[in-house]
Amino acid sequence: MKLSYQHYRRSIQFTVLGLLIAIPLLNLLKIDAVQGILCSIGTANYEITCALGALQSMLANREIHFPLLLSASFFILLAIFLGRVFCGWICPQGLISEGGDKLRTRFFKSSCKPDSLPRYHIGRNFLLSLLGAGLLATFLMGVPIICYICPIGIICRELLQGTMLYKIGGEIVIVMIIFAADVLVARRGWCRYICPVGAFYSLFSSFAMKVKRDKYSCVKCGTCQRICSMGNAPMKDEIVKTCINCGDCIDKCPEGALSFEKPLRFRNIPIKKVG
Amino acid sequence: MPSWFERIFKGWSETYFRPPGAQSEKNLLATCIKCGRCMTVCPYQSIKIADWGSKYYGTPYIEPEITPCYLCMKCPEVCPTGSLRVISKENVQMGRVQVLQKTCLSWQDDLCNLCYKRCPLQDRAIVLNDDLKPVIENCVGCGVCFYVCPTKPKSIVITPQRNLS
Repeated sequence: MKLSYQHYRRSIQFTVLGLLIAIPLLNLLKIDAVQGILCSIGTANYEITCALGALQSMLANREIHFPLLLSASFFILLAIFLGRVFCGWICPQGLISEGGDKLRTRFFKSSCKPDSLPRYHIGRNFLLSLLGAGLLATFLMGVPIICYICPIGIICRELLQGTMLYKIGGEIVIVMIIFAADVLVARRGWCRYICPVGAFYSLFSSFAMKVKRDKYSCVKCGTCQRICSMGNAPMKDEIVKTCINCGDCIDKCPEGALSFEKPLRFRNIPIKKVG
Repeated sequence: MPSWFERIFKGWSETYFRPPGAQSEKNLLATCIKCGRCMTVCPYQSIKIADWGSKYYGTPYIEPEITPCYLCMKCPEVCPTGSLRVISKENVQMGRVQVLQKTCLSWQDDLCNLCYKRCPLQDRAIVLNDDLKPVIENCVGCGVCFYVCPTKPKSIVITPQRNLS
């Protein structure tokens, strides 16, 4: 059996989820060389920090903390080279939203259409203005506002507290609301139109790896744009910054016309229609 | 600044005991990204994470009456944002401690001195005077003396306080 991108992706997603439980368990057994959650994970000397959290922390404190810049650069580099792979391959909220997407596809088959370009631009502007408003509020109020509502942090923290202290806080409601909205309101609505973390990483993804269509073997069946949960249309070469490089369209393409293009090809982002 | 803003965020009152090395309350709330690493690395599980519903959400705190801080100083090393700064345990400032001499067993001519025996900074934070009675001197406020005090109610009063620039 040939392993598809989805196999790799699911295994990475569930590995991350397992690590989020395994690391606190090891910490409980006093093996605390590695500790942390997706907000910040690492040993005492080497660590990886959420880039948006790091930016907020420095904005709110109005002071640059140098180790934080270093530890935040990992996810930024990941976004520069591989695009929004954090969303598609790592994020636990992304995994939950994909479950919601599966449910939604089963119940409301007709509503799974890709975004048209004007609609994408409206959504994109809304997304970026939310991110900007959050960062401005962080700067003015002096507390990291986005961290208070970030569902990724909430899921990780709940897993951490549930494993170590056997308690679940009320903030898990936010994750449930997002799941319900993903099923009932919009297809992966949180990831596409609201999530500030994804919006922040998408700012760096201009020259990253992205899906490329071979227009000679493409038969325009439309499978890719039906399958894409983030509202892209690879068939029309409308692969925009909502793309999380999940590789679902590549797996499902019956002609094998889609593939990942290598990162750092310096060219314009294809927001033009071809064919 | 708008008035609602002042109401919510003006007083950075110190309601919690923060882990050792914590910055001032304002800077701690600004820098903490709620990653919880201080909680996971704490060998005594003294550090807890504040519950949802206030501006303190996700920030670490210590309840000395349940588990005090034993000043192992592991948490500042793992803090990614510098909310907890790496300092020596003598320079920690977490709270202020007072001995209530009216109820303290040692001051009632009983040889208890548990607070002195258990203090992580023995002979520096708590010293015994010439009559072998405990006296608070350069205390950092870790809360161990408060935790071990056998009298009911406790003969030691501890309040969160940090005098940081």
